[in-house]
Amino acid sequence: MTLQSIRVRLTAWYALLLAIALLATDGVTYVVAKKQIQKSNDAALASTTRNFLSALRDEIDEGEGMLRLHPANELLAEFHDNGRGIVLLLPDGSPFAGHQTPVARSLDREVLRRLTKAHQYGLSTVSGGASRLDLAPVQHGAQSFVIAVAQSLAAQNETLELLRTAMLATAPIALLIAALGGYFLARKNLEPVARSFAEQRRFMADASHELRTPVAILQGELDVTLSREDRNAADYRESLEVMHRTVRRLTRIVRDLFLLARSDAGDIPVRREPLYAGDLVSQTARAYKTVAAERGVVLVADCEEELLIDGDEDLLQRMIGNLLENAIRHTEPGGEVRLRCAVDGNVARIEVQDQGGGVPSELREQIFERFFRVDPARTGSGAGLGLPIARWIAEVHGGALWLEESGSGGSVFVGALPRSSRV
Amino acid sequence: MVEDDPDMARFITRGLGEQAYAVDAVTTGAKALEHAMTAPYDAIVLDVMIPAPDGLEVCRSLRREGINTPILMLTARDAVRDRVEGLDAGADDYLVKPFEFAELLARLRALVRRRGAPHAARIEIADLCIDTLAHRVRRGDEELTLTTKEYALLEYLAVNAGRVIGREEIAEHVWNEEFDPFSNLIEVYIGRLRRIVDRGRGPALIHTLRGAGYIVEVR
Repeated sequence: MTLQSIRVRLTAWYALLLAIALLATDGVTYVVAKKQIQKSNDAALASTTRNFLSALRDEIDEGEGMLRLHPANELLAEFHDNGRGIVLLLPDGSPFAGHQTPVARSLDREVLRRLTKAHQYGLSTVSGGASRLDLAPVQHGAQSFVIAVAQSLAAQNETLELLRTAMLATAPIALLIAALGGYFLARKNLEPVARSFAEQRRFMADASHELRTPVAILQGELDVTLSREDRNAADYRESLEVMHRTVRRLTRIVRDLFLLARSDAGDIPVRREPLYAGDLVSQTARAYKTVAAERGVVLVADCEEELLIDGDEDLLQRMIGNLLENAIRHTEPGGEVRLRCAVDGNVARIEVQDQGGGVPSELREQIFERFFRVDPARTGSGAGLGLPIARWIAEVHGGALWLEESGSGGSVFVGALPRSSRV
Repeated sequence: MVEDDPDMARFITRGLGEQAYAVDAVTTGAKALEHAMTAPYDAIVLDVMIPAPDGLEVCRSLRREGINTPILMLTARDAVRDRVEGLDAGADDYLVKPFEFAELLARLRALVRRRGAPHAARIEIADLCIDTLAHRVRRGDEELTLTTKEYALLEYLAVNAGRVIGREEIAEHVWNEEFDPFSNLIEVYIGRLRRIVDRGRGPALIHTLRGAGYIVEVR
C-alpha cells in the first residue's frame, strides 16, 4: 500500500468519524431542543388550565353555585387566544360551551367525549399532532365540568422545522469541515510515517547502491571467465580469488545492513555481562593483526588490566573491530595504529588512533551517518556502515563514541563505556 | 576504461581484451580527461563514482572540449533522475550495475558502430569473410584460426579496407597505451596475418605501402 493510498484512506476515516460526530451533535441538539420546547409549552398549557379553572370557580361562586351559559361564554372569550381553544364539557363528554377559535373547532368532539368518559385527564397530543390538549375535571359546589384546553402546536412545529432546516443547511458545511479536518489530521498523523518512509527509501537506495558493485563484480567475473573454455588453472584460480574477496565484501555489507535494520527495529538483545576491557581489546587486536599486516600497518594494543565493563562481548568486539578497520584503512603502509584503553572516572575509554589524513572539520559528525564516506569514490573500502554501527553499539551500552581529534597527523576515535558496577 | 574499483576494472579490461579491444584502464577522472584528450579512442567506458572529477564532470568536460568519443556510463544508481543526469551530461549510453558482460559488449559495439562507418556484422573482401560478432574468419571454404590480437588487426584493416592505415593509427586502435612505438610488433603481426590469410590462398589482400603503412584491398 502506498503512502498516498494510506493518506486517502485515513482522510476518509477521519472525515467519516468527524461527520458522524458532527451529525450526532446536531441530532442530540435537535432532540434536546424539541423536548425543551415541549416542556415549556406543556407548562404554559398547564398554567392556562389552572388560571381558567380558578376563574371558572370564581364564576360559579358568583353565580351562587351555578354556571350559566352567558357568563361561561364571557369567561371563554376572556381566555381567547388564536393559538388556543377552550371547551367546557359536561361530565358525559358533551360540550357545554366553547369559544369558536380555530383550535377549538379543530378538536374532534368524539375524542373529547371518549377521553372524558374514560376519565383520561391530563396532557395528550391530538388532531394528528397539530394540538396539545389538557383535560381537567372541575367540581365546584354542585357543578361538575370537564375543561378541555387545547394549544396549537403550529408555532412549536414551525420552530422545530426551522431548526431542522438550519441543521440540514449547515450539514454540508459540517461535512466539509469534517473532510478538511480529516485531511489535516491524516496529514499530521502521517507526517512521522512519511518521514520514516522517506528514510527507509533512502536506506534502501543506499543499501542497493552498496550491493550493486560487488554483485556487478561477481557477474562480470563469471561472465568473462565462462566466456572461454581454454583457460588454465592459474586463470581460474585468480578469478575464484576475486570472487572470494567479493563475496566476503558482500557478506560484510549484508551483515552490517541486517544489524542496522534490526537495531532500528529494536530487535537486538544486548547481553550484559562483566567483561575485562583488557581481554576485549587484546582479542580484537589479535583478530585484526592480519588485516593490518596485509596493508603493512603496525597495530599496537595496550590496555589497563582489571578494568571491568558490563556488556555484550560480540557487539563490543565489533565496535572495536570497526574502529580498527577504519583506522587501518586510512593509515598508509608503514604507519601505525594504536589501540588503548584507560580509566576515566566511571568510564572506560577505548581509543583508536590512526595516522590517516584526518577528517575535514565540517564532516566530523557526518562520518557517523550511514553510508557516508569522506571520499565517495572509494568503493573498495567499507560501505560507510562501520562507524555508525560502532556508535550504535556504544550507545546501547549506555556509552558514547566520537571523533576526539583529527588533523593531518591522524585521528583519534574514542568509545566511552560505563564501568561495571561490580568492582 | 575509467573505473576505480580494482576488481571491476579487472574483469572489464580482461573481458574487452579477449574481445580484441585494446583497452587503456585508468582509475581517476583527471587521468580519464588526460587520456581522452590526447588519444582518439573508439569508445570510453566511464564509471560515475570515481575520484574527482566524477564521471558526470568528465563527460561534461570532454563534450565542452568538443571530444565526441562515444561514452558508455557505468553506475550503481538506477533512479531515472540519475540516468537522465548521465545522459544529459553527454553520455551516449548508460548501464546500471550489475550487468551481463554480453550487454556491455553489445552496447559498446552499438556505440562504435553508430560512430564511425557502419560496422557491418559481416565484412567481405574478395573471398575473405569476417564475422565481426563471432570473431570468425573464413577464406573461401576454409576457417582461419587467429589469435585475438591478429583478429583485431585484421578486423581494423578490413573495416578500413581501401584506405591506407599508418603504423601510428594501428598502434592506437589495436594496441593499448603500453605499446612500444619503437618495437617492430606491428610488422611481426602483419607478417603473421599475411602467412595465415594470403599465403597460397588466391589473390593477396594485405599490402604494404613503404613509408605510409598498410592497406587491405583487392588488386
